[in-house]
Amino acid sequence: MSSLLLELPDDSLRSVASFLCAPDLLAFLSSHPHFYQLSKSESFWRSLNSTNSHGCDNNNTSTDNNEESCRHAKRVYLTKAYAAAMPVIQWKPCRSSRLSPTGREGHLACTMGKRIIITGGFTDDERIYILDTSTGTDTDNPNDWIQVMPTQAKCFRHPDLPVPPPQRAHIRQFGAMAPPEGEAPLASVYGASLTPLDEHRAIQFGGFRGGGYTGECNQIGLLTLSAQNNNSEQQQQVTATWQIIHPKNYGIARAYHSATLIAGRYLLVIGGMTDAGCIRSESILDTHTWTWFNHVSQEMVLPKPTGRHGHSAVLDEKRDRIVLFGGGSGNDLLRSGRDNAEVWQLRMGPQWRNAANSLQELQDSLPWEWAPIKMNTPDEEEDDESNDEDGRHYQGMVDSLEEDDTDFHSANESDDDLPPLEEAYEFGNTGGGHQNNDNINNTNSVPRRANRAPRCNPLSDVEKLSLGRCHLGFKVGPDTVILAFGSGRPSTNGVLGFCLATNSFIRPQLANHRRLMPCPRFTCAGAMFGENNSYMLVHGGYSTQEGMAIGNMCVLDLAPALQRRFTALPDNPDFATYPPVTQDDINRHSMFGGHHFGMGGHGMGIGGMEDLLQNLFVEFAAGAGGRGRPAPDGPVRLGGGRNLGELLGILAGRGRPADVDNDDQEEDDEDDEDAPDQAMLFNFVMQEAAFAAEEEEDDDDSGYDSANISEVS
Amino acid sequence: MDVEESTINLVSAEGDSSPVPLSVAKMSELVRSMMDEEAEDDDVKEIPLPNVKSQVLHKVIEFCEHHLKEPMTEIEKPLKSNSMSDVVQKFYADFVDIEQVLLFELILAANYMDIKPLLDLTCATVASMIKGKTPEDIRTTFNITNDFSPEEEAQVREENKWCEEA
Repeated sequence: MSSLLLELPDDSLRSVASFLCAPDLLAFLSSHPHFYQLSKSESFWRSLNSTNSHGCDNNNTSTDNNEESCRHAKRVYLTKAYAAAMPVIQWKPCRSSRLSPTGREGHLACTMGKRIIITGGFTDDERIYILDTSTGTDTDNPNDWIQVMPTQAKCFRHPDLPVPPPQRAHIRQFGAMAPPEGEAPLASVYGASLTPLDEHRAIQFGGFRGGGYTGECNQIGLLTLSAQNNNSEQQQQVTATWQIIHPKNYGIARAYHSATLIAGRYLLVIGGMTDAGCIRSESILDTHTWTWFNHVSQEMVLPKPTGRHGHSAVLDEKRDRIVLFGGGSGNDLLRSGRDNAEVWQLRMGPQWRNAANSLQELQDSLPWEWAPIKMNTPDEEEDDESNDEDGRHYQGMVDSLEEDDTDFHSANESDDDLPPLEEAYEFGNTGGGHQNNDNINNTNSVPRRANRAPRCNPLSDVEKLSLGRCHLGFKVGPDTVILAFGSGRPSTNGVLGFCLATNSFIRPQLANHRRLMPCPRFTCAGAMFGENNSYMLVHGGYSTQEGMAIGNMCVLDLAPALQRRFTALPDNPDFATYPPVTQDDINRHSMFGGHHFGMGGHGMGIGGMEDLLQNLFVEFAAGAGGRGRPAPDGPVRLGGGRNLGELLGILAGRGRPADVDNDDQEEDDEDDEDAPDQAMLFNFVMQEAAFAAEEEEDDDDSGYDSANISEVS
Repeated sequence: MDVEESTINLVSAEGDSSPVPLSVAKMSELVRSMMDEEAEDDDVKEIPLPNVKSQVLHKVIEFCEHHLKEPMTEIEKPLKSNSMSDVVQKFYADFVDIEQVLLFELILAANYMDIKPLLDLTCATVASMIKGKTPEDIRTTFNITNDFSPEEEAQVREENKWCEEA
């Protein structure tokens, strides 16, 4: 007797199908001609694609027999499924053209409708680079970037603000962005955030104005793109306009923070970095009323993430929460602080869902509540799926934290003595031997890690780099997040996924065909685009391996199994592939970076020394008639294209012979060793600085606003 | 004694009549619409359900009665687990721990009587039996004969292949 399953009406079979994930659905369809026949109707796939699929299609359009549209609907389904499950990924290197964005770091990218925007970063280039992805995918005509010089609209001042004092008019030499009379121009910054509000507008917030991670600001810029059809030609003329927003209430200045749009309207800003180190406060900017709200979570309630920057945060609507990934600490991306691989959630009050139309609903939903997320391994079925008891979960999280951070946490917590909201967290941690021990654990943690509790974080040290400072973190589908690049020492070129439904990591594999990997980097710009966000564009960033900001572009295909032809950008056949980052890379870097240049809190360690040197250099350069602002490329640049970190690295390498393997006790004595090194360093760096300043003076035609250094002249 | 909620008789294919509180019966959109149509007529006391066997109808009523007391949590799509007890409350997981034949009859009944939560529960149960299986396993589980020719099958497999391996 044949199965009753075959006798179910199509509606019911669709309902069954709606509960299956893609691989199971495909197996089901392949098990019998009757089921296979289902897959030949467009409405079958459409009903699966509709977000609140009820297993039956209510659409009355029954143009089911169109084979082409059916195949398309199926492909949409599969693209979404592949992007969500991320089993296999493939890099597609893209050739740069003369119109592509130049090499830089700390810059901004976002997708607005079908356009990808890249702008800003550590550069004086004010142009907006725009790539139209709508025509490029799956056609034979690759697109190219267009460059648009933005104009500046009159600033918006919240009506409650006092009238500003009259200002001196600014005249800029390269003045395409000359602002309206009496207004300061939008400062160029790096480490800001750019969050799309809709298809035409995006909001930039924060960033550093000065080199060497100084001069954090709370500047808000609203970018508006508009396109006019250019007479007979089909090509659209795109214009871009910045508008500075002066909001009500005070926004806390920061850079390398996360900015997440909630309910299409509220910009939630978390953490970030200041001159003094990283902060952890959350603020919300209402983009309708342009008002800041600075009390998002309860201040004195633990658990809470520590201060951090370069983390990512995504909105998980389905589960009423913001999920925060990793980040780093320190007051310098290259030479201080640590990377972490924590995952946290900020639970929003249920009213947030109604907050789109009512600010009151948002305020009623506050305060939101932080909780760490217990990580399940992908292989292991979760043993308890309730996400609701803080105590237990926090316990789980402590288990899964990195060794050093565990100590750190419990240390701070047992004191029950929170540092003030904006205080850089790691400063509380620099004194005493505690820090030292942490660092040693960090360097040689493998044996201790092995005997941790079984529910520990399953990520390897190498994988954890994808959650380190300044990684890319994007929502791909309703349940999936992609995490890529990140961490300073070393940076990674790895890609991880995270499943929000199960709170577990996904480890995508590289597709066999053309197994390319891009250059490891962090503080790069990236954006998701294409159907179902199944492509990710990555541009630039800082490569610790190369020791400089880079300019290459790559696209990650999240559904290579579909063998889509990607031509939104020209392919780059000469692309040099990079090996994956390994544990050895980590060990090697932690020699210099992780340990040696860790926060020097005792007396004046290298960290303090370095700050002093930077300050000296900045003053020196300015005093020598240079610029009021430090050099634009890289964290304070010295002569010969080397930056402070490399010089220090070179010297440290010289001062410390290759005793990598038995450095256990050595590292304990490190403080004593530092003294001679520092004297030598100081001389060397000062020489370099003087030399660099001379050079710079020669070739610098000062494209800068001279107002800043008027005292000098 | 409380005022008794008015009841209605649901009549199965076999002609057995089961008295059911109105609120329970109205979980079925079919029953609800039949009630609405004849709202003026106070004496509608019987709803014939010629497609539903007594045994199945009793299960349906059991489901509806319980659903009013403890509504079923919405089942997340796609299913997270092979075990229904991981996705719904114990009562509902136990409820569908039944013979396949009865399960399919429940789907047909839920479809016919238009009871969305019951349809979700039963369809999800079938999905949980498919989850993680190969086409062969699926055929074995549901006692389906393979009606593909080898060529057809190869082509269908190729067309519906999921790429896990790099």
